[in-house]
Amino acid sequence: MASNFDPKTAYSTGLVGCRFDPRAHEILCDSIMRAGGDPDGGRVAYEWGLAEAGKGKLSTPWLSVERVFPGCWPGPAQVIGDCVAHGTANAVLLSMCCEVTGGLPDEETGRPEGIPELSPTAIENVPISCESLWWWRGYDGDGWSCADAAQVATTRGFLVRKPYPDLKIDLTKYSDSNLRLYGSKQPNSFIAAEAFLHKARTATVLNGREQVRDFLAAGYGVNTCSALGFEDVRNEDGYSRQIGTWQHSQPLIGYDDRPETISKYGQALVLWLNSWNRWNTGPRTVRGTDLLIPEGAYWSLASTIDRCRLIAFSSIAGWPRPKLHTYGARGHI
Amino acid sequence: MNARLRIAIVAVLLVFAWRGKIDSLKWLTPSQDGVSIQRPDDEAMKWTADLPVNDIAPADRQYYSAFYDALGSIIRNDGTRPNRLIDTSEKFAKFHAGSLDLAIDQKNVGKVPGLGDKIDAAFIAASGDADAKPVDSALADRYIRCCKALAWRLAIHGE
Repeated sequence: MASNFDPKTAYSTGLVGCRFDPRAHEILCDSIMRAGGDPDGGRVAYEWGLAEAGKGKLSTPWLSVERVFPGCWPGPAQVIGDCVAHGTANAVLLSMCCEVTGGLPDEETGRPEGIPELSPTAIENVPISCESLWWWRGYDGDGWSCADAAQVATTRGFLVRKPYPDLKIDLTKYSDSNLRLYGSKQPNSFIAAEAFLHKARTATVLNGREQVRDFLAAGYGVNTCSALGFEDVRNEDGYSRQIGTWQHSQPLIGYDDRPETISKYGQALVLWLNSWNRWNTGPRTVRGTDLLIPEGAYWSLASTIDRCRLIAFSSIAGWPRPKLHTYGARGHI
Repeated sequence: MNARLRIAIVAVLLVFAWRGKIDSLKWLTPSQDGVSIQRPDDEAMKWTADLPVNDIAPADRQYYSAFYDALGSIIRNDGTRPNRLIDTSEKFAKFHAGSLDLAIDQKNVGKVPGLGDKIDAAFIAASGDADAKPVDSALADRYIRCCKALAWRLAIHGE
């Protein structure tokens, strides 16, 4: 994919990838309630018994994604200002993978779900097509609101990275040409019908670092929109300082609330994942473990969360689990 | 099949060979056969109830019994590793099939009609269904119990 777009330069020099739209936020909250959900993350945490789920712990939900789709992160670098679609797709992916690895039954079918069969190229490009969300923004320019993207993920649904011959599109690779298929022109009814099969059935708006900690510990992906920039080097713990300004959307994929981490940094750390491919450098080993954070990710202070707008996703309508044709004995004994 | 899975299959075969089963297909008494099996619990016995053991030659029964006993031991050991090799039912099926391929001569495959299907059915019963799914510690334990129940049924002294 040839592109002259340099996301770090573009965002550092004022590209508005995400913007806060109070009206979109209201519409999202209303939509969540009409679907039977609750847009108040604090209340959801209490009712679902998630409160304090991550207290004092290292929460590693990103490992579920790497287990289900090894090598899918960091994914391709953005070719336009579509960070909100990337952030939403990655947050939904995290929730979906945690549901799969947790063996949780689907809320509607009551059966544990599986994953779509995707090619290695598709997985390297992040299994959920961010283009399929981006197409619904309603205009042709860059930038979007996190609330609008969440509304699309919960009502319109998404497509995955594979060819859709009936729809005459191939989403295997993230591409500028696919991104520009729709915008001011809405996707057709066939695309809408296909995407509607797979969606995040609900979302909720989080407020503050403790809610993020607990939702991540419980395996729910969280997307952010903020004006926070970060340095492009990680220290010995994979930590990067918050510096500069980016109007940018990135998902949160891990949380470190261990006492020893708080002792060193004065507070917990949260793991960010950028959508700029291998844009940063430095160690990736999680402090005191042999776990690695994904390329493109970095830890930063949990206080950064307090300056973000936050949306968590749940109950992904996914794929039925495939049946095993044999448990290994037929034709071998 | 990846290199780590191949190594694990070799491990099954080493356990199997170490117990003296590959080249010593003798009539063995329970106390001599080196198979460390105990009578399975009633649920595991039900999983393997349909196994056509009376259609299998005694020497082959001992051979298969030792194989499943070794397979159960390897699954148990795998559960103690920080990065388990067998973390999905698909990987278990591949591991099982690959181990059998290496342990049984191709000319002997299918010698007992329906045996493979009945063994698969035992694992499906142990698993609850034939879904491809993650193997957590509870499911790994059911696989181990199924292997040990197969080893018991197939052994000469089995019921």
